[in-house]
This record gives sequence, structure tokens and C-alpha cells, in this order.
Amino acid sequence: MKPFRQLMKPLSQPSIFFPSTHTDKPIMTIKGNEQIIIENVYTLEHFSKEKIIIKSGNNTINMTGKNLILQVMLKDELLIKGELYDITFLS
Amino acid sequence: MKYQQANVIVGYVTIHIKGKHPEHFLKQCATNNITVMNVRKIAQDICMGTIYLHDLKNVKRLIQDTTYELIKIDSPKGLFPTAKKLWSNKVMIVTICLCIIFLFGLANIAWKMEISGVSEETELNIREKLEKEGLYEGAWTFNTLDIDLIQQHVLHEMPELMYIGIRKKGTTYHIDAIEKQQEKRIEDLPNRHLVASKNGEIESIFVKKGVGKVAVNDIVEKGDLLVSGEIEKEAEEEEDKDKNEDDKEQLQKVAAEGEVYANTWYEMDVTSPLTQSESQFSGAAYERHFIDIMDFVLPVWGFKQPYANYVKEEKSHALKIFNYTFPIKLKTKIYYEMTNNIQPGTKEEAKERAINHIESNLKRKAGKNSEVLYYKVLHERLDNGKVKMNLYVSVLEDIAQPKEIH
Repeated sequence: MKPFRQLMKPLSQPSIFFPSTHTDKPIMTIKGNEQIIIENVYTLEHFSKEKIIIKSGNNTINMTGKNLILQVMLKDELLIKGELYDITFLS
Repeated sequence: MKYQQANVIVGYVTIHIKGKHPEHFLKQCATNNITVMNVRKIAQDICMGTIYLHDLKNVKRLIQDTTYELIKIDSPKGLFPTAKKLWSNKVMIVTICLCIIFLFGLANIAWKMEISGVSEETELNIREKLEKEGLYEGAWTFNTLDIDLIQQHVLHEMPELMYIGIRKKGTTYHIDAIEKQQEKRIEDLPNRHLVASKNGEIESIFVKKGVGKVAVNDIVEKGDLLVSGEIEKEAEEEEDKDKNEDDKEQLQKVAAEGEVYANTWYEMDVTSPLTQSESQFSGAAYERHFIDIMDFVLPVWGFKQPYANYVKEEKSHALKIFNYTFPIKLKTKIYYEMTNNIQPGTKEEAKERAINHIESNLKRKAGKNSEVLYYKVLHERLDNGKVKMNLYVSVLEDIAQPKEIH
């Protein structure tokens, strides 16, 4: 069983399926104007109901909107919900 | 996104953080592998967020080293906290348990018995017999009644019943019974002769209906006519008939009845071992109890396989509340110890056993009124611990066999 497990081990690494784990650039997934998922690296600079500022790598991402909440905060991931008006990238 | 939705099961708590930029503290929590959910800003310096209940300790530890304050912790929510809360309310748990036990008790009492298909007199008899077996209105039925066994006992004790079926529907027992009907009248039988079913020498004849065609000491062969189903018509009737009619037309056909006993002969080969093996119950029994949950059998009591030779009996009782059957069964396996005795015997004993066996076998084949008149051992030999014999047997038996008249 052991050689078989060793053979299979690389296959179970998430990097095979999610190459995003190899890059230091943020990956943003936007669903309409109501949800944004930011993956990889981020620093939360500012948070209020109307504005969220996030620093990710060399970029600063400004988001404005209404009733913004941080749905889920994980070490490297962030899910923002609310009514989004604007997203700006500042380098 | 590894958004986890297990918070309902695991349990979660909402915390309120106060300080300058409280979201920074929540980000610090996230960096320390604490999942923070539903973060809202409720004031310039106050943030609220939800965390898993088991992370609360870590959050408290983290906040000690910062200038932030944990100003409010809402009551925990989720399955485990609710169960914990419920567990602390012992009175409610005891009440629920008592209710279930009470309901279970009510559901396992025979509240009504409906007997159908029989006369009132038989119905009363059936009720009496069932009461003896422990099935009556108000009887405790769980684990005590074996319906198949009751059916067998009642059928055995009431020979006038042809069939009895007991069905349990909720807390009502429906008993369907059928009484035996009168035997079919002889008049219904078709016209027939009685012929010999095998070769033999006639010993006695008893004719109920028909004309006997053989006499005592006659030798008959298989298929010979013994009692004729064609009898002559009565004199008055005959007078009305035309005298020129054929003889055949003057004969009346009836269903011949009677018994014709003849001496028949058989030549048989029989083998009987010298040793005799006997299996007996020693009287010792061992019980094992199991809980069967959806075909997963869990042993509860009695874990060993007690005897080398045994007969196993299995009983199973499903938990029922009214019409609902739970997928949980209480199983009992009873092991009865068996002892095998191998007794060496003599040649004479083996011969006697073989002859007894042949006699009972012939009696079963030839009918209960038959009789073995005598037997002769034509040849016998001992081979491989077995006695092999060739026998000539003379039997007195009824050889009359009906044959329809066409």
C-alpha cells in the first residue's frame, strides 16, 4: 500500500488542480455586482459599509458600494458581499 | 473559495470588537487560521463578526496582546450548543424519555381483537384458546407473542378449523379463520370400477356398492376387475323396458365402493450400519443478544460461541410504535448444545433395525390398515461395517383401486 500512496500523494496536492497557489498575484472572481472573491494575498486596509480598501501585492484595490460586508475571511481568501458600485486598482 | 458551511453543526458565536480599525484585528484572526464570517461595521470603532465556537479561546488569547476589546459575546448557536443546552435541562429530557416509553407501552398492547369468518360459537372458542396463549384484549405483546406459534397451537387444539391467520395492524389483531366443511358426499363420485392395483391373493372382500367379481383365495393380477360398477337394474324398471334391448343397456352404472384385502409380495434390498449415531440435546443452552440497526448487527450480550455442536434458534423483535416500524430490532440467538453418541452394535441389532424400518416403510406405502404377515431373509452379508439383506415380505393390504367407467 505504501508505494501506491506515495505514487498518489502528488495527485492529492491542491496545486495540481489550482495553479493559482503558485502565483503571488491576487485572483479576483466577481459575480455580478454583488459578490467578489479575492484569493491569494491580501491585506485589509480599511473596511466600512460603503468602502473597502485592500492591499494585494503591489496593488491597492478600492471598492465602493452599499451595505458591504465581509462574508468570509480566511488567511488567504476573502469574500465580500453587498451592492458594488465601483472597483479601482491603484499601483 | 473554501467557504465552510459547517457552522450550524459545529456551533458558532458572534463577537463584537472595539478599537481603532477593528477590522485589522479580525484580519489578524484570519491570519491565525481563525475563520471569520459575516463581518459588519456597526460603528466607526466597533466591528462584529461570527467565529466558530471552538475558536473563541484563540480569539480571547489573541486579543490580550492588543489594544482591542472584546466588548460583547452573543450566546452560542448551532446543533452542539443547542444539544448542550438541552442536556442541562434534565427535567425536559426525563419527560421526553417517559413520553417515549409511555407511547411505546401503549403501542405494544393488544387493544382490540377482530375475529372473522367463523360462527359465534367457534369465535368464542378461538378467543378462549388465544387467551390461553396470551393473546387477549389488553395483553402486553412486545417480546412475548410469537404469532406463528399461536396459529399452530390453535390449529392443533381446534381440529374443526381448516385455517387460522393472525395479522397485527397497529394495536388491533385481525384473526381470519375458516371452518372445515362437511366431506364431499359419495354421490358426487363418478361411476367407476374397482381394479387391482397390484398382483396378489385375495384374503377378504368387503363391497359397499357394486358387484364383487373375485372370491377369497383367487389370484389376481394388476389391473384385474375386483368390484364392478355396473349393476343390473331393478325388476320393475326392467319390465318397462323393451325386452329386445341389449344387455349393456340393462346395466346401471354406479360408483363402486369397497375394500379388497389381498396378500401381496415384495422383494426388497436393505442396508443397515452396525454402528448407530444418535444426536441428543444435552439440556444446556446459551443466549446471545444483538441489536440490529438497519442490517448492522451489534452484539450486546454473550460474545462467545459456546458449543462445538449446537442447534441455533433465532428470534427477532422489531421496535414498533403503532403502524411505524423502526429499523431497530432486538435479536436473540439461542444455542442448544447437541451431543452425538456413536454406539457400536451387533449384527442382530442392525438386522432388527433394518426389518423394523422396512415394516414401517411398507405400512406407510400400503396404508394404515395394512399388515406385514411375514418376511423371509433370502440373502444377507456383512460389508464395510454394514449389513446388507435381500428380503421377501408378504403384506396384507387393500389393493382396490378406482377406475372410471367411460
